[in-house]
Amino acid sequence: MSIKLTSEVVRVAGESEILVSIDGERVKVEYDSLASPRSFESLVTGRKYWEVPYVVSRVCGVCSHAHFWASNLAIELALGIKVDEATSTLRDVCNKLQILQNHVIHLGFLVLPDYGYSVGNDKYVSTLLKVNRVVNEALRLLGGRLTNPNVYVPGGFTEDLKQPVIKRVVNLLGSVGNDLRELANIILSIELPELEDPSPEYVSLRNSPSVTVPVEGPYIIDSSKNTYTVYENYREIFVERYLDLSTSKKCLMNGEKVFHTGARARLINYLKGGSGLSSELRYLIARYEPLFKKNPFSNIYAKIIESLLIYENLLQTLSSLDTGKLSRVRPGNSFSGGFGVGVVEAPRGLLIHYYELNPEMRVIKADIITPTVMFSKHIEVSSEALIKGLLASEEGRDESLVKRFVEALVRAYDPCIPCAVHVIKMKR
Amino acid sequence: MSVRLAVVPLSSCDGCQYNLLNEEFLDLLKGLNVKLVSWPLLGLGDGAETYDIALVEGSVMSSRDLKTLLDARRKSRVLVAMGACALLGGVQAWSSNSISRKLVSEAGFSRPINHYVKVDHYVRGCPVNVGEMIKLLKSLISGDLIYVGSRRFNYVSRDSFKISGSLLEIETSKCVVCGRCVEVCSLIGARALNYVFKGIQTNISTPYQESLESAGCVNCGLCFAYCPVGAVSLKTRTEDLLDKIREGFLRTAYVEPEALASLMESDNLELGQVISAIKQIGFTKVFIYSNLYEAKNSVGGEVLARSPVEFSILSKQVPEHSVYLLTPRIPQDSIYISQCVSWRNVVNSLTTRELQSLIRELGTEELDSERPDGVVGYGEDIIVVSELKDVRKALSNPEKPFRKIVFEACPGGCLLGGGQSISKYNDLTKVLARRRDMLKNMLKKITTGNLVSQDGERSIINCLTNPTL
Repeated sequence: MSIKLTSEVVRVAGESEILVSIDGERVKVEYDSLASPRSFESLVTGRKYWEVPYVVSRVCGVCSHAHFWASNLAIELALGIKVDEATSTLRDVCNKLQILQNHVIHLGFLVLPDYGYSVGNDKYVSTLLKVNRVVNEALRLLGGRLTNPNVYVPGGFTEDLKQPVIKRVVNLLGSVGNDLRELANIILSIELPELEDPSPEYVSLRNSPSVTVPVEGPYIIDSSKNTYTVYENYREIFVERYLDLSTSKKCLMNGEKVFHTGARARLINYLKGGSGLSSELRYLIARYEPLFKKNPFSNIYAKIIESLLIYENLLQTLSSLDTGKLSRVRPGNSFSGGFGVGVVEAPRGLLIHYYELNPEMRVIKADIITPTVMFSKHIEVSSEALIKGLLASEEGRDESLVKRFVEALVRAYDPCIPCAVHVIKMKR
Repeated sequence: MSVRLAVVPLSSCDGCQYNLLNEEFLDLLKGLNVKLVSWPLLGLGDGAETYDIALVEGSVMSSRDLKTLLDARRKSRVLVAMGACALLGGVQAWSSNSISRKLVSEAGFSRPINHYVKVDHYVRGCPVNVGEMIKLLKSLISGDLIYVGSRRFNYVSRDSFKISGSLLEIETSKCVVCGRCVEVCSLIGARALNYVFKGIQTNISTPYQESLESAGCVNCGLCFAYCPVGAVSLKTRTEDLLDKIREGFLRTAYVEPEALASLMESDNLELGQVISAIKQIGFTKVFIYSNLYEAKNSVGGEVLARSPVEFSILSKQVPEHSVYLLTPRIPQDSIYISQCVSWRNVVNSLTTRELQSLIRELGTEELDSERPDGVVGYGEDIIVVSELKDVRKALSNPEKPFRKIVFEACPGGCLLGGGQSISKYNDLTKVLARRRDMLKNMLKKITTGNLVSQDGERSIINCLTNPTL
């Protein structure tokens, strides 16, 4: 039996294509970007340090807060600036709000239609839109804009955020708790297809998403078996390679291990050191943890549980946040050049920014590794496993069924193609 | 009928699309009866549809982007550039500036979409300003937005006012600025109507919106006949006249042969049926009467005006010659049914178009064939011309093979006059040919005595053999 399938996967951010070729027992899947590379790393080269966050936050409109924070962090570390704790916390709050917003849109608009829900179904859409509106409003209040934020620079916040704004955000968020739980009930009632994860390696920052990441390197990154201390050695751990006969560039852990990053990885690793959860959430995570480790489709469960976790965490963090402690540090006059690495948890997983500045504080080298680059190989291997499983059964030999399942799997990963600044083979 | 909206993504960060994905925008779409037909982010496919409005996000960086963009332009009626990438090329357009040109040779150049296609509207912002987008969509759909070339949208609309004359009235709120009235007004030589203002505010008016007559209107009614949307209307007195007919003050109808021919052509009736229909309205007697008959009384008149329209034109254009108006000399208790609007100011008259609507109201199903009560009216030794230059040519002819020149100003002569009935055909040359055939047949009947016995010996009206008509 020989099948060749090509599908432009819709309902993901950006344009991408999945190629499936089945020849007897051999199954090969390639996941490619159709978008043009926008070469942001070269765009920022030669520019002053303060321009960089504004440019790179436009890498991706879907997770621009993560890019904004990671680039600010890397530049601060390069310049030797140390921001205060309140600034870091507030930046983290913005990022978490974006993660929440992303999960809600992804699950509601992009994933639910795969499982028989239509956007015309009024009940769930109104809940979805309510949550979405509140999170958008909160993001706009704290981040200046929904996408492409502009409220902070390397050194601190440029805007004098007042305590009433924080209070308003808390009130806004407080009004959607029940709606979020309702949405969680819908998502958790979905019946997921069976699939065994062929490469159970999960990578995330330690203690994320509940705890703010350290504002100075090195970063501690947990994988399923090891713990890595990452700073300038990030390229040795996240290696980009050409694999097999494919022209695609994929990212591997230590140059050999296909891994996953994102909500599922965060939740699996979280239990190692996380604390301060409500009993409801601890129960949920413990209940679904075996599933997370087993089934890549369960990423959508992970996303909604993480949304609840983030929601709880945000309310706690914001209620204890004092904007009076926000201060802004300006870089000194003497600077002899240096580099910085910023690692944050973006909605889809680990995001690494690296900048090297010359004594004029201009960028001479930039490097960005985005989550989609990291897990795109994982999409391929788990799709291959999925298809092999389908082919074993009788009804699984239907081409349209294979296509439908593969597309649903890709959507469960929620790849973000605009982010993929220097992924993968480009098709013109 | 819902408005079909498409969101078209090109090379960009997708941020604008995520900004649109909110409650306010989606509610607006529902409120305005907008149907989202294509949005890849939401999995809405495209296929071979057409769009009313396409919102394009992102810049063109590859041949694939270009194909998508051209496709969207072909399918859409209004194309909107959404956000900084579509407007200006976005941050990725920096790849074409000198700092990073060497470094990014592998990437395509980013270009704004109006480099390749015509863009109707621009909504700025990085990310796009959703409020502005909502305002644009509202105005596009409710229709109070007029777009000018590639300029950004504005909300200026045309003024609406009324231009009034003694017989005609123009309402610019109904006008679509097709310009037919301006064309015919210029053709007939009156030039009362013209375009006013510029760009989106272009309108049709007399100078300074003064009354039609003071602007030079000759009441030919051609604007009324040619207007496709009914913006020009007759200040009609049909009701008054109808009352008088019913009360018995107006008992006799004098009908022009041209009016009869037109009515026969447009409503597909026989001559006898038309006569019968006119009698049904309330007339006791119907005469076929042409005012060309009055030519014999025109002592000293060098040019004869068929109606007041021609009189006004000739007295201005050929002032060196004496002009005689062929006023119908009909009894006071009668009504003159003619092809010309302008007789309204002189005698009791109805236009063919009004007669047509009266007949249609009564119904043309069960009409008997009736004979007219009499036929009056032939010119002797006259030539009928329908262009001013022919009038001049005939006047300057030293041999004078004919005694009298009759002028009919309307293009095509009185058979296509301003007050004529509306034909079912659009092609005016065809209409003219059909009406001319009808008229010829009718007059043949009259002259051979088949129609009315006492009218057998008169000669035929010369206008029908005039090749210039």
